Amino acid sequence: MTTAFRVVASGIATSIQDRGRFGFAHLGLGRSGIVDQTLASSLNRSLGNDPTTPVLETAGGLVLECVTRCLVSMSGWTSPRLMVEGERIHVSATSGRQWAYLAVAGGFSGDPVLGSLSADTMAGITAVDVSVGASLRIDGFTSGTPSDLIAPQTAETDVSILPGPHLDRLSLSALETLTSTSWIVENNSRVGVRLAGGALQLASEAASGKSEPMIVGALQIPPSGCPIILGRDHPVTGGYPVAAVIDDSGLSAALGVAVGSTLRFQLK
Amino acid sequence: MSIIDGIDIVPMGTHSLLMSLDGYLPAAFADAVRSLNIEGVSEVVPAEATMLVRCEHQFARESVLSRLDEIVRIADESQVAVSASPVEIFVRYDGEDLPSIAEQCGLSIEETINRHLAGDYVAEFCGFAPGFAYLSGLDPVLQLPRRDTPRTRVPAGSVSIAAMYSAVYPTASPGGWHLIGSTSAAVWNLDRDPPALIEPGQRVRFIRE
Repeated sequence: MTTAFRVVASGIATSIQDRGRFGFAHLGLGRSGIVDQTLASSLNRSLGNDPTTPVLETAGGLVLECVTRCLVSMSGWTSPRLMVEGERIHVSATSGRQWAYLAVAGGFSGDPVLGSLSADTMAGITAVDVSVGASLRIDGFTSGTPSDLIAPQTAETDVSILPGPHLDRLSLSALETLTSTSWIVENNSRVGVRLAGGALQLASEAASGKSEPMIVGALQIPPSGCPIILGRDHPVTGGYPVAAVIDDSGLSAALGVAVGSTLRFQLK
Repeated sequence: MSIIDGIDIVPMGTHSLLMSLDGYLPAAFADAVRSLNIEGVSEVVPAEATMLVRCEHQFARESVLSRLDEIVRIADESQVAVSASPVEIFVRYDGEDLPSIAEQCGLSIEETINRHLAGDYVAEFCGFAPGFAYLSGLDPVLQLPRRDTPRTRVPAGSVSIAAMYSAVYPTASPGGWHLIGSTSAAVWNLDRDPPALIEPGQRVRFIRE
């Protein structure tokens, strides 16, 4: 392991992320992991890494200084680049996307917490320090064959959904409202994406809000009627009705979309 | 989807299943699913009356559905045998809300403590925060609605009650439960695997320190 970068500016909501930690949800600890897996895996693959090799994730403003030369792939680039000692790199999201990624050949390294380097904002877990002045170590070894860097389509805002388990707690027009509204992304964090631009109606005899298990991509409907898409760091249980769940194929698009963008849903 | 008496199953997301378990302890059901080690089942998450079986592919979902009878049988048997010795948690009854709990319940402080101590608790599920176990078995007389105004910070190790549950705050967090006491037990420890002291389905006894 070698130190490859020093953090000059830590940016917004920056963390190291990988595939996340599996098998602890029943203890109240969610999976966490890379938000925009489509984007991060294309960067990792362009370096010959496995798709979920640990990467840096940020909502912008991250500045790094290279300490040891290494091969890097980043959001917005068309191919990997060799970075040399003393060189600075600014990491920020490309147009329409909330999250930017920086991948390095071999991947970032550190001491895993319960099998993962992922920070979990909900659980307060930080496996790798990314604050100003921190040294970021890499494994500097990759066994795979690099593939071309394919930038995901940035305008991809049509997302497939599946009907949720609590439609009986919503008005009959709930799915119709979901699929006919152009939703505006009001807020996007690792915990969830809050939408505006319309509202779903709760059924008149609003049933009890018992704690139920939740899943990433669930569209929860709080009393305001404005949906919240549960993100990678979502609480493992919740009491609001789930109107629909985003199909796995659309998770990266839906969770990775920038604040202010439009999101449309269609039934799969 | 297929229905066994008291069990209702609906899809949740691309491959996963949400089961409503009327008359079963979801934690016992979750243990039963987990014991089968079905390939592609990555999480089994019990909650208040339902359980999520997170499946990574369609084959895993079909395997779970095809083995439902077996799952019900194992869950039934495990519920009969609530034999395992309880997790013991030592409590100092120094909670900030103890006087108001006693007053609202019409009990003396000593009687409030004794009723809390007498409970034979079962961890129904975890949620709210990592390691936060909802313990059923609270004396009905002590069952109060949550505080009108939640605290912005409840210290780790706070022993608390609300509605039909008791719980120990694993880490400092905001919270609306009534604080009855405190413990120095490490309820949540990331250097331990499993990190949670109390797992769903486990029995818990509080012991006065």
